[in-house]
Amino acid sequence: MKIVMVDDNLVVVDLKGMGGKGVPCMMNEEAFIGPMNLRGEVIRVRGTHADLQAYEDTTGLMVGQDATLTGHLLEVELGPGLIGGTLDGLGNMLAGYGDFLSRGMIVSPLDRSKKWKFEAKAKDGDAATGGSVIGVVHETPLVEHRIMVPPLFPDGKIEGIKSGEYTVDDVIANLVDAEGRLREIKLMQRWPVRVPRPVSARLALSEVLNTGVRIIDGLNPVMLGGTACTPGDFGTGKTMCQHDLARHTKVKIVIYVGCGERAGEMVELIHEFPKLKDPETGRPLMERTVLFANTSAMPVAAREGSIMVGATLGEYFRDMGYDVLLLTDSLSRQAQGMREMSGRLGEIPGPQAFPAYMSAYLTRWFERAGKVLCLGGSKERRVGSMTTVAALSPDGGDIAGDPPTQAAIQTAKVALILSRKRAAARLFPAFDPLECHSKYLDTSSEALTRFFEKKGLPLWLDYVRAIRGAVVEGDRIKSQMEILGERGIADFEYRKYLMGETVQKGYLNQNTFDENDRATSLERHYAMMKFFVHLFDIFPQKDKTSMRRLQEELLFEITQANYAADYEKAYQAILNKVQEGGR
Amino acid sequence: MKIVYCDIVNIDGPILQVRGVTGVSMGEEALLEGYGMAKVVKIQGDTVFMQSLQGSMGVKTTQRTEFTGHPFEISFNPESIMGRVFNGIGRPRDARPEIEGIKIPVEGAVVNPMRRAMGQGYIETGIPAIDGPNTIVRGQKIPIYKLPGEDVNDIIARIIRQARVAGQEQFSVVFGGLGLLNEEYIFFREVLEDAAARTVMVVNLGNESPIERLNVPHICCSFAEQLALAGQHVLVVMTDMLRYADALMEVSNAQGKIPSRDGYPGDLYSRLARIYERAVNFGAPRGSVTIIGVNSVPDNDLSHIVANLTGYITEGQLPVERGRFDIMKCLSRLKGLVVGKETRTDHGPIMDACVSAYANALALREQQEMGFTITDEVDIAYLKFADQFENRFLPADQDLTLDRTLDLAWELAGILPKRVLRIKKEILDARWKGKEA
Repeated sequence: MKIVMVDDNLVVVDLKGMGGKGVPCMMNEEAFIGPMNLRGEVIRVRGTHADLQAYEDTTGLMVGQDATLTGHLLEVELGPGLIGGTLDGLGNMLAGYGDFLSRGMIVSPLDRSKKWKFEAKAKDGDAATGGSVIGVVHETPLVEHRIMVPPLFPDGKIEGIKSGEYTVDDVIANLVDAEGRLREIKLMQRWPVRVPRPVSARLALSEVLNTGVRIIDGLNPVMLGGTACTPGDFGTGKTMCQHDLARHTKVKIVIYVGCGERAGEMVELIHEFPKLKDPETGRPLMERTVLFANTSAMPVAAREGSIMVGATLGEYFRDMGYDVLLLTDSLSRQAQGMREMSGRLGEIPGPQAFPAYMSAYLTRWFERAGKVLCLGGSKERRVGSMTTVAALSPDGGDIAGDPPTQAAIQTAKVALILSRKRAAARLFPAFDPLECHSKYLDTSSEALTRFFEKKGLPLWLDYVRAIRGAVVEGDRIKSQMEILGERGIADFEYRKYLMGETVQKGYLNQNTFDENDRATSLERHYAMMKFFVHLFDIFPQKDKTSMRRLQEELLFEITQANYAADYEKAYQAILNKVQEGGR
Repeated sequence: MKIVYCDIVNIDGPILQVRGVTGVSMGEEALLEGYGMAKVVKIQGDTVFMQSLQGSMGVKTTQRTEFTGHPFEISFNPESIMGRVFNGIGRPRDARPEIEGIKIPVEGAVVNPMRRAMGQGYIETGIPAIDGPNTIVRGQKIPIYKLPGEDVNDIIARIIRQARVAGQEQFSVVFGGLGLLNEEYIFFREVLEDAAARTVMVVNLGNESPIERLNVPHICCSFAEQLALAGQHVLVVMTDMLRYADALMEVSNAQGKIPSRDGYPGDLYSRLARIYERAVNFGAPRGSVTIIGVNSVPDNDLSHIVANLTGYITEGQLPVERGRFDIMKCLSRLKGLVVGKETRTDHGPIMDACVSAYANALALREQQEMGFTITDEVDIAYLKFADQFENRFLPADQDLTLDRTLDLAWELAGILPKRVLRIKKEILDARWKGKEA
């Protein structure tokens, strides 16, 4: 197959070769281009010509050089050794490169020479099928890597299984199907990244994701296995928020995909995560995390790969029966990458030059999230979930006018919208309580009620309503005051305004640098909401100046109480003080 | 392998087409005899598309073209580039001899994120509005936004002259001028003379080729990268990045690419990222590259496509309005890496408190402008604070050490009552200089 055209990262090859019949070619087939073996993919076929999208810079390529097709779609290798790794957008392990990324170099995410201790859980003669867990590898102290029969294998019986030390390429067992055919099972398997991994059944969402961020867990809950997006202009703390979620969310596995964003931020994760401790076990966070560093300077075509490879890894760990959090920062960069490529292909542009299929594409990607009955796990009822939280960076900060952001808000059930105003006032996380919404409050309201009752926090949703009410009222009066001035409104309205402000600054505002304030457990959160709801009741109705002085004082004390380890005592002390003062 | 060819079949703006050529590679450097340089941007069959760096006025259809067999390169020598001025193809423009040194590619490779070190150490500019609330960390990239009609050359000159790193570490400055006006060029030549021992310039003038302009940021960064690998901390200051984006639009349109937003090409984000992402900290004993890019923003509207994409790529921003940093919009994303860790523990809290108090005061001023009288004593203190903050802290024409910057902030915070400052009590008690009511 000879190259006939090179235009930036678009490479056209002639499938006909030297006068013979055309080489068969598959849409989205993986290809290697030129003497440097640049990785690419078939993105269009026209007659005897195929358009390849090179994932790497094409400098040095010549017309007449060879390209080869691999016979399969873009795949990723899955197996022990992924956890703790930092991968690029195509699944190469970055630790295998020098100071600069050399083109044409492929570094498998799995160490081929490392021997893993495999503990067989199945025995010879056991019935098994695609997805069945046949043994485990203790990959890190936090993750037991469950070795599964590859998804597309048929029903059959296990043969030749033995515990022992194996590399990912060694055969650890065989699956014998009804006709007596043997299929090899290894510690690793491959999966095409654009194809969702199959499941036994999709389940209704029934639990709440505990992120530790109060404005999410309280006012805008995300269900375990659900979807959320966090659009925000630059400087509103989008990435910080994703980092915080990666650190504090109570899930088994975190997959963090840095997609077309700053390298500096990835470096922070790469350096910080090994030092940060998992709050429950005290082990390094990296022992349950996989990072993808597809930075903005890397070739644009690999960007799309990154969110697909990330989702595939997430599904793989979900299939083991784990709760996975897939964080992506940012989906906008992915959409822009698509726009760049679409323009180069000369496709008819949709709104703001994005291709017409962009929205459907993002929806399909979001739909890879969910809570599932795992394939092959119906006997043991193995349930796993993948929750997706994707950041977006709307062009011009224009949330309403940015096609990728609108596509994401339409699909994701929770929209957590970051506000420049709150960020400028240094109120973090800068989610705008009035703009954010969680559709789960409607669609999963029964599940939510049951969940909080089971946790022993029965008034949770009532508290949430009271707190949201205070914010909405406070904001309404604030806008009135902007027109009428402080004197133009009644004292009792001013009190509502102050309560709204207290919630904004004392409840929604969280200090990520304080160990007690940065991630709030459900119990602490409940106590805090209870405190605020009481405060609304007992805050004295007086003249504006006295109320404001008291509120300033309280806010100071609330902030200190938020930092305190013994929160019950601290909040009670404030309530006592207000009650005494009110007498 | 050198290939010589003597026939140009298509001339379309700066894009020249040569037909019947084989053995030419993407990105290859071509020499147009007696004319200038060109770069191969597309190859279709035996047709080669070149982008002439000097445009196409005067290019003949019989032009003799030599394909050099290697990608576009520049000469580098750490010993002899300081105090020198180069043009957009990396050749001297100061009437001094060519640099003898190693050949380096103009656009470097992508740094492996795993090999980047965390930002460490900061660059002190002496300007309180930067060093205090928006400390620039080594390896950071940050734009200065300004109105197209506003001249911030004095501020840039100050940064070039005053910038320093702590201790004995080696420090140098690379200045990139993109589409500089002649008058500006003369101004910056003088600045260079003051700091010649540690400064190098790469300049493309406003009346020169916009295609060469596209190289300027990369040449600056390639120089800086080499110096950093050798252990220096390098500050790259470039002005004006809007002219870069405009040049990119011009060239992209000439190539017939479909425009994306506001007429700018669809790969504007990726292109800007390829520049700004060259900011790096390699980790000791090697050095770092820090980038400050000046970016004109029409109407000071940060949602303007160039400013907006730059905002997403860079690590913060420093908008200037009427000679003063617009502190409410300023942000240094990386400052947390050094503030309170390498600087005084009160650094973070006092600067946050000052900025937040200033925000309050601005809201009060709005009330005043609408005709309401401010009577509350705390509100009056806020307004007084804001006046002082604007007159003493925000002006850019200063050169203070970081310690003095912070002391100044505490002095101003003394105008406000302790309880509204929202600072941890220990720090407040130790530093607050006001009088208790």
